[in-house]
Amino acid sequence: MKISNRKLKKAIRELYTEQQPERMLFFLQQIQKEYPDRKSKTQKNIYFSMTKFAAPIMALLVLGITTGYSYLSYRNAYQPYYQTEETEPENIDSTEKIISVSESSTLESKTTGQRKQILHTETHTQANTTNNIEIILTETPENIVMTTITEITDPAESDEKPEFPETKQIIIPETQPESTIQTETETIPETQTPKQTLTREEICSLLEEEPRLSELDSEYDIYFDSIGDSIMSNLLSARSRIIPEIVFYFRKPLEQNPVLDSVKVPVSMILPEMIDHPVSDLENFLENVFLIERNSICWAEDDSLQYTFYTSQKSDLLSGDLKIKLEKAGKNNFSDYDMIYNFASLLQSEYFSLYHPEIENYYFSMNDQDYQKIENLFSVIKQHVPQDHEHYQEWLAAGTYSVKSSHLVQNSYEIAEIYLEYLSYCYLIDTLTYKLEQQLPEEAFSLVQKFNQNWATQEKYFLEQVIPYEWDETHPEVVCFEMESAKCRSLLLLLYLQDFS
Amino acid sequence: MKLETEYTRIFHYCLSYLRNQQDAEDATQEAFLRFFQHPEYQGSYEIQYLYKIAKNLCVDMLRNCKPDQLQEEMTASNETDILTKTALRIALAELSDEEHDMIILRYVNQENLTVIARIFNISRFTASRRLHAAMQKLKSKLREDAS
Repeated sequence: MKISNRKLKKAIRELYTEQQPERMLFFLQQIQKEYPDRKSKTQKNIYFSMTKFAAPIMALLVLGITTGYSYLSYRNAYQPYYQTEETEPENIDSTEKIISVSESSTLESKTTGQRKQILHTETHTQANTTNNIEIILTETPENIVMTTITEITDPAESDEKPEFPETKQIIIPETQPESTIQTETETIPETQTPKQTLTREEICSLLEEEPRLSELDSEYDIYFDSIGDSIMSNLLSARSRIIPEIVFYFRKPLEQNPVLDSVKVPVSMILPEMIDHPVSDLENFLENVFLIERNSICWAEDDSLQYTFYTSQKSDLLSGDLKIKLEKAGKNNFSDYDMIYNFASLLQSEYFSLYHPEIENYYFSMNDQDYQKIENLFSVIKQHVPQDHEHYQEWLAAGTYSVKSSHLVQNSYEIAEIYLEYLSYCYLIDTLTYKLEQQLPEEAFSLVQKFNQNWATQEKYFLEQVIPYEWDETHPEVVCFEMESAKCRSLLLLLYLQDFS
Repeated sequence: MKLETEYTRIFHYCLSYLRNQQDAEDATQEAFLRFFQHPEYQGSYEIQYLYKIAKNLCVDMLRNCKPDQLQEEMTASNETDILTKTALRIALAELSDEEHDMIILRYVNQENLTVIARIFNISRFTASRRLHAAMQKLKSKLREDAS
């Protein structure tokens, strides 16, 4: 027995929606009114909790971290001294405790008036005695001087104070710490400086060196590159072949070009494997995925993006075109380009989720460190994109959300999804560019040409600046970085198109 | 949050579990009451909280009542519809909780994939894939019943 998806979904919907609740909502509405300020109360409570508890805890944490870090830095910088001192058995006291550590103050001599920068101060106590040992590390223009003051009686236990505490000064030549520091700093860049001239071939060859990476890469090649190739070949052949097209209507014609009130996007651009399928297959696909009923479809996919779109009549489908009208619903400020892009990317992801379940096996083995790198990448990109542009904010938010949600669910579907979005975005943009070239006057065409030149420049810039910054030979997610930088490229194109429109 | 819209959705969700209008209405009312009593549930995830509360209530109610007390109500007008709906309900009941919820949320309540993904703490892409798998499973069960 053949069960069509459409009938099944309709039956499921009617299974329960025929029954409607009979009770009046009055009771609940009254209750809802009783909590008009619950949000503000919650916010106040959160704020109160933050100021009451979080602020002191944060202050203590910052203080602790700063002090600890300073102490560790000091220990590392003067490790030789500590080692020689600690090897003397008479100075070793397992019961010694550090009472306090402080630094970054100045000491001025009353007799000479010379100022010394106190680098570090430590106060130690010994359990068997009531004495303290204070170590003060000061810096003069010539040397670094360590002064050790011992037998400082604890004032709380004895009223008698020694007039002149026993002091011992150790002068550390200036060259010693500097040379130590210099040695350390010299070793860092050699291991962390990324390669600046890696080409795609070199990256691939590096990936192939490890079996796990080559396996991933081969999957990547088999899966995504085949898609990319097919889309690109379709892109080239689309102009000469009669294939079904999805017609996106703009809400209003562009001011500079009233002719351009709609864009026809070949199906192959969005769903490359649909190119050899009849239109009815596309129709079935849309019905299966979106529960489309003709002409009166209200379908909301995303919190920030809602559509009401209409499928065309059967006669239109038979003629070879599928006409879909996208309308903005809700309060979002998305442009027509954004709507088309989002719709296309959604179509594509749904298509691959339905017909390519093997994507489940496509796994990037991402971990926390990798996700951190992607987030770092966003911060790098942030420095190079004009931040006052509204699309920048939207794009960054979307990208960050994808990364965050990937992190949350601990899988890589979102990464694959971003890549699919990127593909659809690029090819849709290519189509739009093509249409602009076709229908716009010479001036606009030159603008597009200018863009293309800048596009190459920007692409080179991002490939040189962004990818090497995050490049790490031991991780295969270079694909993701390439993908994200390409998304930047698409963003730049969008900015150009927006300026034009 | 639009109370009327969400009330109907939660009601349908409860009805898919309890299969009785009276019980579903009770569960819905209780779910909203508990939701309003906890201001911390407010925010961008309030729909997810509502569904979670409703599901817990339904599970509790199903535990507390005996199977013979479940009175299934049919609103279909003719015999064929009743048979179809009965088969569909049986097939839905045989699915796992997650599959059942996904289908109800998507096709009865018409929740978008983003909301479904948030409820199940998975990506939208995964939600789409699992939803498709659930539909295939439902279809196969219906085919088995028919044969």
